[in-house]
Amino acid sequence: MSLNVLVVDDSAVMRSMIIRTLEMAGVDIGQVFQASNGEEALQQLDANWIDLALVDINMPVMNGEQLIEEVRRRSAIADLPIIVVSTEGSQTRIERLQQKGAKFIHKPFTPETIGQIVEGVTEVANDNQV
Amino acid sequence: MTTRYDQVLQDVAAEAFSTLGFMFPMDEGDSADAGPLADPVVAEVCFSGPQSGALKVAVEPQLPAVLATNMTGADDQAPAEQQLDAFKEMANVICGNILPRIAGQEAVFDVHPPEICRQDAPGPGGQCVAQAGLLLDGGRVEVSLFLNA
Amino acid sequence: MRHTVSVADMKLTTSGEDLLITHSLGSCLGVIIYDAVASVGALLHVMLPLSTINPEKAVDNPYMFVDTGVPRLLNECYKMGAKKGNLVVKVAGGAKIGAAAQSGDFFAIGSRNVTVFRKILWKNGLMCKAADVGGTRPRTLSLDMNTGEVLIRSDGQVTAL
Repeated sequence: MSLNVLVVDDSAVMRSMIIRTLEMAGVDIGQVFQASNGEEALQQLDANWIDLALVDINMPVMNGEQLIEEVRRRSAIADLPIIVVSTEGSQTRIERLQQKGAKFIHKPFTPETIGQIVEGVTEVANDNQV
Repeated sequence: MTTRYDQVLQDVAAEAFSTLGFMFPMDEGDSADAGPLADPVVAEVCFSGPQSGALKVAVEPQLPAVLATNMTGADDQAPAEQQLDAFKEMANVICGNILPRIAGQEAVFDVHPPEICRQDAPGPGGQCVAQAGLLLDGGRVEVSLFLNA
Repeated sequence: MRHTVSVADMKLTTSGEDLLITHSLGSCLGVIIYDAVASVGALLHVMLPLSTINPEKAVDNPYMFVDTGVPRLLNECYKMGAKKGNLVVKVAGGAKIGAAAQSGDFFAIGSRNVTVFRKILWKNGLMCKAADVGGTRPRTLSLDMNTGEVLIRSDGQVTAL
Protein backbone atom coordinates (compact mmCIF):
# COMPACT_ATOMS: atom_id res chain seq x y z
CA MET A 1 0.00 0.00 0.00
CA SER A 2 1.57 3.30 -0.99
CA LEU A 3 1.82 6.14 1.50
CA ASN A 4 1.00 9.79 0.98
CA VAL A 5 3.75 11.87 2.51
CA LEU A 6 3.87 15.50 3.65
CA VAL A 7 7.30 17.16 3.90
CA VAL A 8 7.40 20.39 5.90
CA ASP A 9 10.58 22.49 5.80
CA ASP A 10 11.26 26.11 4.93
CA SER A 11 14.15 25.03 2.70
CA ALA A 12 13.06 23.68 -0.70
CA VAL A 13 16.45 21.98 -1.14
CA MET A 14 16.02 20.18 2.19
CA ARG A 15 12.51 19.08 1.16
CA SER A 16 13.90 17.65 -2.07
CA MET A 17 16.68 15.84 -0.14
CA ILE A 18 14.14 14.25 2.17
CA ILE A 19 11.92 13.18 -0.74
CA ARG A 20 14.91 11.73 -2.60
CA THR A 21 15.90 9.79 0.52
CA LEU A 22 12.42 8.33 0.88
CA GLU A 23 12.55 7.15 -2.73
CA MET A 24 16.03 5.68 -2.25
CA ALA A 25 14.92 3.87 0.90
CA GLY A 26 12.38 2.00 -1.17
CA VAL A 27 9.42 3.52 0.66
CA ASP A 28 6.29 2.95 -1.44
CA ILE A 29 5.25 6.56 -1.88
CA GLY A 30 1.93 7.62 -3.31
CA GLN A 31 1.56 11.38 -3.46
CA VAL A 32 4.09 13.80 -2.02
CA PHE A 33 2.85 17.07 -0.54
CA GLN A 34 5.09 19.93 0.52
CA ALA A 35 4.76 22.88 2.87
CA SER A 36 7.24 25.54 3.92
CA ASN A 37 5.78 26.22 7.37
CA GLY A 38 3.33 24.83 9.90
CA GLU A 39 0.37 26.84 8.66
CA GLU A 40 0.77 25.62 5.07
CA ALA A 41 1.14 22.10 6.45
CA LEU A 42 -2.23 22.33 8.24
CA GLN A 43 -3.86 23.48 4.99
CA GLN A 44 -2.37 20.45 3.21
CA LEU A 45 -3.56 18.16 6.00
CA ASP A 46 -7.07 19.60 5.73
CA ALA A 47 -7.21 19.15 1.99
CA ASN A 48 -5.50 15.77 1.52
CA TRP A 49 -5.23 12.29 2.96
CA ILE A 50 -1.73 12.06 4.39
CA ASP A 51 -0.17 8.96 6.00
CA LEU A 52 3.14 10.34 7.22
CA ALA A 53 4.62 13.79 7.87
CA LEU A 54 8.30 14.77 8.08
CA VAL A 55 8.55 18.09 9.88
CA ASP A 56 11.29 20.65 10.56
CA ILE A 57 11.21 22.62 13.83
CA ASN A 58 12.56 26.09 13.10
CA MET A 59 10.29 27.60 10.48
CA PRO A 60 8.69 31.01 10.01
CA VAL A 61 4.94 31.68 10.56
CA MET A 62 4.25 28.47 12.52
CA ASN A 63 7.09 26.30 13.77
CA GLY A 64 7.15 22.51 13.83
CA GLU A 65 6.43 22.18 17.53
CA GLN A 66 3.30 24.34 17.22
CA LEU A 67 2.28 22.30 14.18
CA ILE A 68 2.60 19.01 16.07
CA GLU A 69 0.54 20.38 18.97
CA GLU A 70 -2.16 21.50 16.55
CA VAL A 71 -2.19 18.13 14.75
CA ARG A 72 -2.57 16.24 18.04
CA ARG A 73 -5.50 18.51 19.01
CA ARG A 74 -7.48 17.77 15.85
CA SER A 75 -9.28 14.47 16.19
CA ALA A 76 -9.32 13.70 12.44
CA ILE A 77 -5.52 13.77 12.17
CA ALA A 78 -4.40 13.32 15.79
CA ASP A 79 -2.83 9.90 15.09
CA LEU A 80 -0.71 11.06 12.14
CA PRO A 81 2.77 9.50 12.31
CA ILE A 82 5.28 12.37 12.50
CA ILE A 83 9.04 12.37 12.09
CA VAL A 84 10.84 15.54 13.11
CA VAL A 85 13.89 16.27 10.93
CA SER A 86 15.72 19.14 12.56
CA THR A 87 19.01 20.60 13.74
CA GLU A 88 17.47 20.74 17.20
CA GLY A 89 20.08 19.83 19.79
CA SER A 90 18.18 20.55 22.97
CA GLN A 91 17.43 17.32 24.80
CA THR A 92 14.63 19.13 26.63
CA ARG A 93 12.84 19.95 23.40
CA ILE A 94 13.53 16.57 21.78
CA GLU A 95 11.96 14.79 24.77
CA ARG A 96 8.99 17.16 24.60
CA LEU A 97 8.48 16.20 20.94
CA GLN A 98 8.90 12.50 21.63
CA GLN A 99 6.21 12.74 24.31
CA LYS A 100 3.92 14.01 21.57
CA GLY A 101 4.61 10.82 19.64
CA ALA A 102 7.13 12.14 17.16
CA LYS A 103 10.30 10.35 16.08
CA PHE A 104 13.41 12.48 15.79
CA ILE A 105 16.12 12.70 13.10
CA HIS A 106 19.00 15.05 13.66
CA LYS A 107 20.34 17.29 10.86
CA PRO A 108 22.89 16.82 9.35
CA PHE A 109 21.59 13.33 8.55
CA THR A 110 22.82 10.63 6.24
CA PRO A 111 20.23 9.13 3.87
CA GLU A 112 20.76 5.82 5.64
CA THR A 113 19.58 7.25 8.99
CA ILE A 114 16.40 8.63 7.45
CA GLY A 115 15.89 5.34 5.62
CA GLN A 116 16.04 3.28 8.81
CA ILE A 117 13.73 5.50 10.85
CA VAL A 118 11.21 5.90 8.05
CA GLU A 119 11.15 2.14 7.52
CA GLY A 120 10.20 1.64 11.16
CA VAL A 121 7.52 4.32 11.08
CA THR A 122 6.03 3.29 7.74
CA GLU A 123 5.49 -0.25 9.00
CA VAL A 124 3.30 1.27 11.68
CA ALA A 125 1.63 3.63 9.18
CA ASN A 126 0.91 0.70 6.89
CA ASP A 127 -0.64 -1.24 9.76
CA ASN A 128 -2.88 1.73 10.50
CA GLN A 129 -4.16 1.73 6.95
CA VAL A 130 -5.45 -1.83 7.06
CA MET B 1 38.43 35.96 30.07
CA THR B 2 35.68 34.88 27.66
CA THR B 3 35.68 31.24 26.61
CA ARG B 4 36.54 30.76 22.95
CA TYR B 5 34.77 28.13 20.88
CA ASP B 6 36.92 28.22 17.73
CA GLN B 7 37.71 24.50 17.60
CA VAL B 8 34.12 23.44 18.35
CA LEU B 9 32.86 25.72 15.59
CA GLN B 10 35.48 24.35 13.19
CA ASP B 11 34.43 20.75 13.95
CA VAL B 12 30.70 21.46 13.71
CA ALA B 13 31.08 23.33 10.39
CA ALA B 14 33.33 20.64 8.87
CA GLU B 15 30.91 17.91 9.96
CA ALA B 16 27.90 19.75 8.49
CA PHE B 17 29.60 20.47 5.16
CA SER B 18 30.80 16.89 4.94
CA THR B 19 27.62 15.04 5.97
CA LEU B 20 25.00 17.24 4.33
CA GLY B 21 27.01 18.93 1.59
CA PHE B 22 29.36 16.09 0.59
CA MET B 23 32.32 18.49 0.77
CA PHE B 24 35.59 17.86 2.54
CA PRO B 25 38.49 19.96 3.79
CA MET B 26 41.44 20.13 1.43
CA ASP B 27 45.06 19.96 2.54
CA GLU B 28 45.91 21.29 5.90
CA GLY B 29 46.79 24.76 4.57
CA ASP B 30 45.56 27.31 7.03
CA SER B 31 42.88 29.18 5.13
CA ALA B 32 42.96 31.92 7.79
CA ASP B 33 46.28 32.99 6.27
CA ALA B 34 44.78 33.38 2.82
CA GLY B 35 43.40 36.88 3.45
CA PRO B 36 39.81 38.06 3.31
CA LEU B 37 37.35 36.30 0.99
CA ALA B 38 36.84 38.03 -2.34
CA ASP B 39 33.17 38.79 -3.14
CA PRO B 40 31.80 36.51 -0.45
CA VAL B 41 28.19 35.37 -0.19
CA VAL B 42 27.08 35.86 3.40
CA ALA B 43 24.29 34.24 5.40
CA GLU B 44 23.28 35.14 8.92
CA VAL B 45 21.23 33.11 11.37
CA CYS B 46 19.94 34.87 14.49
CA PHE B 47 18.89 32.98 17.58
CA SER B 48 17.30 33.75 20.91
CA GLY B 49 16.91 31.80 24.13
CA PRO B 50 19.16 31.50 27.19
CA GLN B 51 21.64 33.46 25.08
CA SER B 52 20.94 35.49 21.99
CA GLY B 53 23.20 36.24 19.08
CA ALA B 54 23.94 35.30 15.50
CA LEU B 55 25.96 32.94 13.37
CA LYS B 56 27.53 34.39 10.25
CA VAL B 57 28.72 32.20 7.39
CA ALA B 58 30.70 33.74 4.53
CA VAL B 59 31.73 31.68 1.50
CA GLU B 60 33.42 32.21 -1.83
CA PRO B 61 30.87 33.09 -4.54
CA GLN B 62 31.10 29.75 -6.40
CA LEU B 63 30.45 27.62 -3.30
CA PRO B 64 26.63 27.85 -3.07
CA ALA B 65 26.31 26.40 -6.59
CA VAL B 66 28.52 23.42 -5.73
CA LEU B 67 26.67 22.93 -2.46
CA ALA B 68 23.22 22.99 -4.09
CA THR B 69 24.28 20.56 -6.82
CA ASN B 70 25.72 18.20 -4.20
CA MET B 71 22.70 18.41 -1.91
CA THR B 72 20.12 17.84 -4.62
CA GLY B 73 22.22 15.14 -6.28
CA ALA B 74 21.47 16.79 -9.63
CA ASP B 75 23.57 16.44 -12.77
CA ASP B 76 23.17 20.05 -13.83
CA GLN B 77 24.01 23.18 -11.91
CA ALA B 78 21.21 24.13 -9.56
CA PRO B 79 19.27 27.35 -10.32
CA ALA B 80 20.29 30.51 -8.43
CA GLU B 81 17.36 30.33 -6.04
CA GLN B 82 18.28 26.78 -4.98
CA GLN B 83 21.90 27.79 -4.52
CA LEU B 84 21.02 30.38 -1.90
CA ASP B 85 18.43 28.08 -0.33
CA ALA B 86 21.05 25.32 0.07
CA PHE B 87 23.55 27.78 1.52
CA LYS B 88 21.00 29.18 3.99
CA GLU B 89 20.07 25.64 5.08
CA MET B 90 23.75 24.85 5.68
CA ALA B 91 24.05 27.99 7.86
CA ASN B 92 20.94 26.88 9.74
CA VAL B 93 22.38 23.40 10.35
CA ILE B 94 25.69 24.77 11.60
CA CYS B 95 23.86 27.17 13.93
CA GLY B 96 21.53 24.48 15.28
CA ASN B 97 24.49 22.22 15.98
CA ILE B 98 26.82 24.75 17.61
CA LEU B 99 24.27 26.04 20.16
CA PRO B 100 24.00 22.92 22.35
CA ARG B 101 27.80 22.64 22.24
CA ILE B 102 28.16 26.03 23.91
CA ALA B 103 24.99 26.25 26.02
CA GLY B 104 24.39 22.61 26.97
CA GLN B 105 21.79 20.07 25.91
CA GLU B 106 19.05 21.39 28.18
CA ALA B 107 18.94 24.90 26.70
CA VAL B 108 16.08 25.57 24.28
CA PHE B 109 16.78 28.09 21.52
CA ASP B 110 14.64 29.64 18.86
CA VAL B 111 16.66 29.65 15.68
CA HIS B 112 15.34 32.25 13.26
CA PRO B 113 15.17 31.72 9.48
CA PRO B 114 18.57 32.34 7.84
CA GLU B 115 18.97 35.50 5.77
CA ILE B 116 21.35 36.32 2.94
CA CYS B 117 23.13 39.60 3.78
CA ARG B 118 24.78 42.19 1.64
CA GLN B 119 28.55 41.96 1.68
CA ASP B 120 28.86 45.43 3.10
CA ALA B 121 26.08 45.02 5.65
CA PRO B 122 27.20 45.73 9.19
CA GLY B 123 28.00 42.49 11.02
CA PRO B 124 25.76 41.22 13.77
CA GLY B 125 26.11 42.94 17.12
CA GLY B 126 27.55 41.30 20.20
CA GLN B 127 30.89 39.74 20.87
CA CYS B 128 32.54 37.32 18.48
CA VAL B 129 33.20 34.20 20.60
CA ALA B 130 34.26 31.84 17.82
CA GLN B 131 35.74 31.98 14.36
CA ALA B 132 36.65 29.17 12.03
CA GLY B 133 37.99 28.92 8.50
CA LEU B 134 37.63 25.91 6.22
CA LEU B 135 39.21 25.30 2.86
CA LEU B 136 36.79 22.86 1.22
CA ASP B 137 36.91 21.19 -2.18
CA GLY B 138 34.15 23.63 -3.18
CA GLY B 139 35.85 26.80 -1.91
CA ARG B 140 36.68 28.72 1.25
CA VAL B 141 34.31 29.18 4.18
CA GLU B 142 34.48 31.51 7.18
CA VAL B 143 32.16 31.03 10.11
CA SER B 144 31.78 33.38 13.09
CA LEU B 145 29.59 33.14 16.14
CA PHE B 146 28.41 36.27 17.97
CA LEU B 147 26.81 36.36 21.42
CA ASN B 148 24.96 39.37 22.81
CA ALA B 149 25.95 40.51 26.27
CA MET C 1 37.41 -20.03 -6.11
CA ARG C 2 39.14 -17.38 -4.07
CA HIS C 3 40.01 -14.11 -5.83
CA THR C 4 42.23 -11.58 -4.12
CA VAL C 5 41.64 -7.96 -5.07
CA SER C 6 44.79 -5.85 -4.91
CA VAL C 7 45.09 -2.11 -4.29
CA ALA C 8 43.44 0.06 -6.97
CA ASP C 9 41.69 -2.92 -8.49
CA MET C 10 38.23 -4.46 -8.84
CA LYS C 11 37.05 -8.02 -9.29
CA LEU C 12 33.58 -9.01 -10.42
CA THR C 13 32.04 -12.45 -10.48
CA THR C 14 28.78 -14.17 -11.32
CA SER C 15 29.82 -17.52 -9.86
CA GLY C 16 28.16 -18.63 -6.65
CA GLU C 17 31.32 -20.58 -5.82
CA ASP C 18 33.60 -17.55 -5.58
CA LEU C 19 34.99 -15.65 -2.63
CA LEU C 20 36.24 -12.10 -3.23
CA ILE C 21 38.72 -10.81 -0.68
CA THR C 22 40.95 -7.77 -0.19
CA HIS C 23 43.62 -7.24 2.46
CA SER C 24 45.22 -4.29 4.22
CA LEU C 25 42.49 -1.70 3.82
CA GLY C 26 43.90 1.32 5.63
CA SER C 27 42.72 4.72 4.47
CA CYS C 28 41.61 2.96 1.26
CA LEU C 29 37.99 1.94 0.83
CA GLY C 30 36.74 -1.55 0.12
CA VAL C 31 33.40 -1.36 -1.65
CA ILE C 32 31.16 -4.38 -2.08
CA ILE C 33 28.27 -4.62 -4.52
CA TYR C 34 26.04 -7.67 -4.39
CA ASP C 35 22.91 -8.59 -6.33
CA ALA C 36 21.60 -11.93 -5.12
CA VAL C 37 18.91 -12.11 -7.81
CA ALA C 38 21.32 -11.71 -10.73
CA SER C 39 24.14 -13.45 -8.82
CA VAL C 40 26.51 -10.58 -9.42
CA GLY C 41 29.12 -9.64 -6.84
CA ALA C 42 32.05 -7.25 -6.98
CA LEU C 43 34.73 -5.91 -4.71
CA LEU C 44 36.61 -2.66 -5.33
CA HIS C 45 39.75 -1.59 -3.42
CA VAL C 46 40.10 2.12 -4.09
CA MET C 47 42.86 4.42 -2.83
CA LEU C 48 42.24 8.14 -3.21
CA PRO C 49 39.19 10.44 -3.24
CA LEU C 50 39.44 12.54 -6.39
CA SER C 51 40.84 11.84 -9.85
CA THR C 52 41.34 15.58 -10.41
CA ILE C 53 44.84 15.25 -8.89
CA ASN C 54 45.90 12.99 -11.76
CA PRO C 55 43.33 12.64 -14.57
CA GLU C 56 45.73 10.67 -16.79
CA LYS C 57 46.19 8.03 -14.16
CA ALA C 58 42.41 7.88 -13.75
CA VAL C 59 42.02 7.10 -17.46
CA ASP C 60 44.71 4.45 -17.14
CA ASN C 61 43.18 2.93 -14.00
CA PRO C 62 39.82 4.32 -12.81
CA TYR C 63 39.94 1.99 -9.79
CA MET C 64 42.59 4.16 -8.18
CA PHE C 65 40.13 6.97 -7.32
CA VAL C 66 36.77 6.91 -5.59
CA ASP C 67 35.15 9.37 -8.01
CA THR C 68 36.05 7.27 -11.05
CA GLY C 69 36.23 3.80 -9.47
CA VAL C 70 32.79 3.62 -7.88
CA PRO C 71 30.82 4.73 -11.00
CA ARG C 72 32.85 2.23 -13.09
CA LEU C 73 32.16 -0.50 -10.52
CA LEU C 74 28.42 0.19 -10.70
CA ASN C 75 28.43 0.19 -14.50
CA GLU C 76 30.30 -3.10 -14.68
CA CYS C 77 27.76 -4.66 -12.32
CA TYR C 78 24.84 -3.33 -14.38
CA LYS C 79 26.48 -4.70 -17.52
CA MET C 80 26.49 -8.16 -15.95
CA GLY C 81 22.77 -7.95 -15.26
CA ALA C 82 22.65 -6.44 -11.77
CA LYS C 83 19.59 -4.27 -11.12
CA LYS C 84 19.70 -1.06 -9.13
CA GLY C 85 16.71 -2.06 -7.01
CA ASN C 86 18.41 -5.31 -5.91
CA LEU C 87 21.88 -3.94 -5.22
CA VAL C 88 23.31 -4.24 -1.76
CA VAL C 89 26.17 -1.79 -1.19
CA LYS C 90 28.58 -2.16 1.72
CA VAL C 91 31.79 -0.31 2.52
CA ALA C 92 34.74 -0.70 4.86
CA GLY C 93 38.04 1.11 5.44
CA GLY C 94 38.70 4.85 5.41
CA ALA C 95 40.82 4.55 8.55
CA LYS C 96 43.35 7.05 9.84
CA ILE C 97 46.66 5.35 9.32
CA GLY C 98 50.17 6.47 10.23
CA ALA C 99 50.71 10.23 10.53
CA ALA C 100 47.06 10.94 9.77
CA ALA C 101 46.09 9.18 13.00
CA GLN C 102 47.81 11.97 14.90
CA SER C 103 46.25 14.85 13.03
CA GLY C 104 42.70 16.17 12.85
CA ASP C 105 39.96 13.85 11.72
CA PHE C 106 38.85 15.78 8.69
CA PHE C 107 42.25 16.10 7.05
CA ALA C 108 42.79 12.38 6.69
CA ILE C 109 42.54 10.72 3.28
CA GLY C 110 40.29 8.07 4.82
CA SER C 111 37.49 10.43 5.76
CA ARG C 112 37.74 12.19 2.39
CA ASN C 113 37.36 8.83 0.67
CA VAL C 114 34.22 8.21 2.71
CA THR C 115 32.75 11.65 1.88
CA VAL C 116 33.31 11.24 -1.86
CA PHE C 117 31.93 7.69 -1.70
CA ARG C 118 28.76 8.93 0.03
CA LYS C 119 28.43 11.72 -2.54
CA ILE C 120 28.58 9.28 -5.46
CA LEU C 121 26.03 6.95 -3.91
CA TRP C 122 23.71 9.93 -3.26
CA LYS C 123 24.09 11.10 -6.86
CA ASN C 124 23.28 7.61 -8.08
CA GLY C 125 20.30 7.23 -5.77
CA LEU C 126 21.79 4.33 -3.80
CA MET C 127 21.86 3.66 -0.07
CA CYS C 128 24.78 2.09 1.72
CA LYS C 129 23.40 -0.95 3.52
CA ALA C 130 26.28 -1.26 5.97
CA ALA C 131 29.52 0.57 6.68
CA ASP C 132 32.51 -0.03 8.91
CA VAL C 133 34.67 3.03 8.33
CA GLY C 134 37.08 5.25 10.24
CA GLY C 135 39.07 4.26 13.29
CA THR C 136 42.76 3.44 13.12
CA ARG C 137 42.81 -0.29 12.40
CA PRO C 138 43.51 -1.88 9.03
CA ARG C 139 40.83 -4.27 7.76
CA THR C 140 40.44 -7.32 5.52
CA LEU C 141 37.13 -7.46 3.65
CA SER C 142 35.50 -10.40 1.91
CA LEU C 143 32.32 -11.33 0.03
CA ASP C 144 31.15 -14.93 -0.08
CA MET C 145 29.10 -15.30 -3.27
CA ASN C 146 27.50 -18.50 -2.02
CA THR C 147 25.80 -16.80 0.92
CA GLY C 148 26.22 -13.09 0.20
CA GLU C 149 27.96 -12.85 3.55
CA VAL C 150 30.37 -9.94 3.98
CA LEU C 151 33.06 -10.34 6.62
CA ILE C 152 35.59 -7.98 8.11
CA ARG C 153 38.74 -9.21 9.76
CA SER C 154 40.53 -6.71 11.92
CA ASP C 155 42.87 -7.15 14.89
CA GLY C 156 42.26 -10.89 14.74
CA GLN C 157 38.50 -10.45 15.11
CA VAL C 158 35.95 -11.41 12.49
CA THR C 159 32.65 -9.55 12.24
CA ALA C 160 29.80 -9.74 9.74
CA LEU C 161 28.96 -6.50 7.93
